[in-house]
Amino acid sequence: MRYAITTRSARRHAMTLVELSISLVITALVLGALSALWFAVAETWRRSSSSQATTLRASQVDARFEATFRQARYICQWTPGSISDSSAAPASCFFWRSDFWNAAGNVNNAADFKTQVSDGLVQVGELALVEFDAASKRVYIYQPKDPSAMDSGQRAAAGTVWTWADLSKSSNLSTFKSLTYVEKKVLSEGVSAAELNVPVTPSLSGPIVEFTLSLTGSGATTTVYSTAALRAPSAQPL
Amino acid sequence: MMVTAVVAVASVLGLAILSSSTLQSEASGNQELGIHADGFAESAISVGLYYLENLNDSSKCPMPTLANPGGTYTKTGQPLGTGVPGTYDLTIKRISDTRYTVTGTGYATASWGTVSRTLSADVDVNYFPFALCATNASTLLTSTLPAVTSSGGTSILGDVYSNGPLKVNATVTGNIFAGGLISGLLKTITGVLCTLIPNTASVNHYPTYFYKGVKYTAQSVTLVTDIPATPNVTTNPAGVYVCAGTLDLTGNNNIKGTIVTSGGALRISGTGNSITPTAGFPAVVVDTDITFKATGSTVDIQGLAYIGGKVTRSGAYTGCKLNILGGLLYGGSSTISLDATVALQITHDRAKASIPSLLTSGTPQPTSVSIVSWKN
Repeated sequence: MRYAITTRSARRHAMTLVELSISLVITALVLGALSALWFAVAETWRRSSSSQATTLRASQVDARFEATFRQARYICQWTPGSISDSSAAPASCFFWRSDFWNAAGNVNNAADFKTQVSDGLVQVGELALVEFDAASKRVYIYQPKDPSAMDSGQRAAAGTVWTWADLSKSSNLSTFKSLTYVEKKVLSEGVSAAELNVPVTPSLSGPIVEFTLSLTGSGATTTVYSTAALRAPSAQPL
Repeated sequence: MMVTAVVAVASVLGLAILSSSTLQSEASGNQELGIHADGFAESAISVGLYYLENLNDSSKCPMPTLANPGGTYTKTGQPLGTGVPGTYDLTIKRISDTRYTVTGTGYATASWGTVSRTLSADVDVNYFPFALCATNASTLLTSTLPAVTSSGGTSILGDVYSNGPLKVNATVTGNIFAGGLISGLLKTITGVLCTLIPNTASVNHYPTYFYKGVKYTAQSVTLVTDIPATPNVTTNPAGVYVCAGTLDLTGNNNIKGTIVTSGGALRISGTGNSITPTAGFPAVVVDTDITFKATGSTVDIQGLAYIGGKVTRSGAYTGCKLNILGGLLYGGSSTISLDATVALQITHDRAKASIPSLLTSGTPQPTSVSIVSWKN
């Protein structure tokens, strides 16, 4: 028995060129099919993952915008921007954050600058500007530093009262941004276009800020349409 | 060998996809929980607002009267029904007579954990929401608000309320509510929330008062010269001055505090008179009339003015002016009587007019609440 097997094995001949070629073609076809399958899976995964990530980011941006605007007291001036027209002036919104500036406050006591001081006056320290920057695809928020991080001169300057004439003057946006105690922070990244609207609301309704943002990431684009209502609105400052 | 390699690569790919998907799923789930927690916190704030809007109505507000200032009410672990996984905590802290801080913390729960969010709002409870208000006026007689002319008349910035019939010739920038409508663009008083105005027998004459949780006695005065330039911070920090009868302002009297004339009038002569109360107090409580007793007499009242009588002149005087920033409450039971030859300007100020202590009970029903600040 063992002998017979040995005899048959010894009689097996090598593969011919044709057989080898056919086997190589079949192997290549199988590997190609598998590669195509993997590629398709990976691409679908990438797209799905990117889409999900953009959606997640959109949700975060929405929450951040809403949190920013719903604390605001009054929208002093705004520029609409555009989702479709890249040549339009960038969207921006200059607003009175809250009436909390406490000139006599102790900077070492954080509560002194977190408690409502209803003087009805708009100090520079109470303002903020949200602005879209198309070049960096970011939305920035400019706002004065925490009082404890300012020096005495900056604190005095931040306590300057801006009247409506100052608040509504468009040239004061760049003045505000250039103040030494005003910080620039990123509110959102990956924003390819932004549009704002502050519609006139009926007398018994509170003011709102509508925003449309186009978010891009890894080939996926998501558009966010949302609204933030000012929860503690005030009348136009004097 | 090749099959093994293929299976290995596929496994690595699968694990990578699974891992990434799990991470995204968790991030997405956490974000969703965050939104839910935010909703719970908003619900807590809404409940707090409802309680404040219904202070003194135990069927709607389980919260006891809070010590002023600093009294705190807390409610923890409140669910929103079995179908909504999570709870909220509510804290209401009294800051002053009419201001409260409402803090809501929402907890959204899932099998993998809990996410919390805290929101906070400073809220004012509002009383006396009208620039001119009469809740005891005669329902049989018609009150007339005089037109603005070169010699006087009434202009009002804010809403007007009268339970009796009203003929409005005055300049009013606001809504006018009246019972038994007579003329003008009037609205019915049905369903309108209004803090009832006490009559002269039940209005607070402030013989004693609470200021920052401490009880003080008002200073008795006979003449305007008895009133100090600034309140005595030890004995009468709110500057409440009670006159048993009529008090005369004689010109350039700048009163920092509250004037109460028990059973008497407030008479005005000279220019430059002003009355500026301490926050939380009315400017004047006059049992009878505000009377102008000389030509060109003026007074600025920077707060709530209560009168049991009328705005009048004691002679044919001209050029008299009464400016009120706050509100004018008419406590009498006849008609609202405003002298057409006195230039009366009333501007409603929500905060200055909101004085619950004007009622001796100190617990009138609020008419609304206002959120004055919001923190995330």
